[in-house]
Amino acid sequence: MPNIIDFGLIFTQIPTLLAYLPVTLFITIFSMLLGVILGLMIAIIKMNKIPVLTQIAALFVSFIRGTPLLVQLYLSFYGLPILLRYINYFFATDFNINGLPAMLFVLIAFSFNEAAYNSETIRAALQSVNKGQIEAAQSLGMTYSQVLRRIVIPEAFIVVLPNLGNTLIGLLKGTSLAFVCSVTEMTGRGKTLAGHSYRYFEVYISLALIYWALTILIELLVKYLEKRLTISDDKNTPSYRRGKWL
Amino acid sequence: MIHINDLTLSFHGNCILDKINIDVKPHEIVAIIGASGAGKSTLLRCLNLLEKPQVGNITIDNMSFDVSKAKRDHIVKFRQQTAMVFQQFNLFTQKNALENVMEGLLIVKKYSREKAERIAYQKLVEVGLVDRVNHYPKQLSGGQQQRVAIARALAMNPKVLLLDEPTSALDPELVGEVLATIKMAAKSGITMILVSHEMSFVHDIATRVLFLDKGQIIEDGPPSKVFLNPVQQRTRDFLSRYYSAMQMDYEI
Repeated sequence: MPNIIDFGLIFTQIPTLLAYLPVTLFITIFSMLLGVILGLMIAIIKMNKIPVLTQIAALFVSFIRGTPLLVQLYLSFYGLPILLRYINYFFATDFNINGLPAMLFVLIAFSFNEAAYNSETIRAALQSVNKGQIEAAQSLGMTYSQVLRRIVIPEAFIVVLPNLGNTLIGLLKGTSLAFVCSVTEMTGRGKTLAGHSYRYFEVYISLALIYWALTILIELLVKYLEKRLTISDDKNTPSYRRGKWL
Repeated sequence: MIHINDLTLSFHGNCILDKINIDVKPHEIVAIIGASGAGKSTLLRCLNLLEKPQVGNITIDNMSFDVSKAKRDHIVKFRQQTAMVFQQFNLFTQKNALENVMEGLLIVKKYSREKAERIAYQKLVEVGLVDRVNHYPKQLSGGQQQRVAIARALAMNPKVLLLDEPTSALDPELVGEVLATIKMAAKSGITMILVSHEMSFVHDIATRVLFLDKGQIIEDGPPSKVFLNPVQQRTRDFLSRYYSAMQMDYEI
């Protein structure tokens, strides 16, 4: 049996790669959270047709959706220091451009990317909420923000959940591009590993297995959440669906 | 107690409400009847500003509201004097019966959780849903949902209860329980304005009936007068059409 593929290595190097899983997860979770918050803000701006902000939001979404993520990462990586240099010049501030952590560029690029995509799905979900419930809440004397927070967002969350699961999976795999901003996450670590062993194929098989497993985990989590948040039709045994943590 | 002055609302050039003037005394139970599209629901929805009239003035219990100068926080304040029951129930689908009734108490009245829960539970007992407090709207029948909605409205202790065709979306066999609940609320002495197609119920419960036609009130009086001895020909036409439709129901 020739040693064309080192099957053992595929599995033995997984722990080495997993040492960088926290970096991957940090980028994923942080960008997702910020992406959802920014996306929600953009959705609300667009729904209320707030002048100027609506146009800026539309331009932002159009630009982000119209350009590759890889290009956005480079723009963040090269653009932010330039922006800071201008700020230093015009406002006589003294930001240390070389001291910016590489992670910052990555987080900004991914968060903005997520925000643009999420804003549209969140807007659709918010608008899917039955108008009658909104009127009922208003007639109780609730303010716009109370109605949004207490009635519309909880209801829209269930609608948007499968979509958010999808973008979360996309984002997780997208983080493998973070190395272009010289952030070492799992894929980045894989590259350096292979650089030493010249076992490129084995490394990418290992990485594929890890990403695949993580994706399955996310799918399961989203399914579980959906099940928990869905109210059963059963009239005789009402569901006490909200646990202590939700 | 309620004064409505020159309330006017037009939509795309169509006049829906044409200079409506109504005075309602405390404890009155006012029923608004009329054909579809006469503006009944619109008039009711104007009273808690879900519709925005262009001209007019509404006063509820000394709190006056000039509709042409509507400000956001003023609208919210003004709304808190009334409570509304809708044709489609409009319960919060993500909250169970108890949470539905508690919502306004917690968020608008800022009651403590214990106090809100106590009041909400009490109101659900009053509408006969003590065994349904933990049910979610879609686990309830239409009649039960509407009773939760009535409990939710009454819990806010409004000065006026507004009911917008509260039984129109219900299966016939569920109408009775909702009407009984409304009657119970009426007996408690709350001021009520309702839009309804249930003429016998209106006859039974209302102390005053308004007939709305093409955005104008053309008949105003106690039910005995409006139903038995209407002044206007249009009211007579409406009522006779209504009675003949009822009779056809029975013949079938």
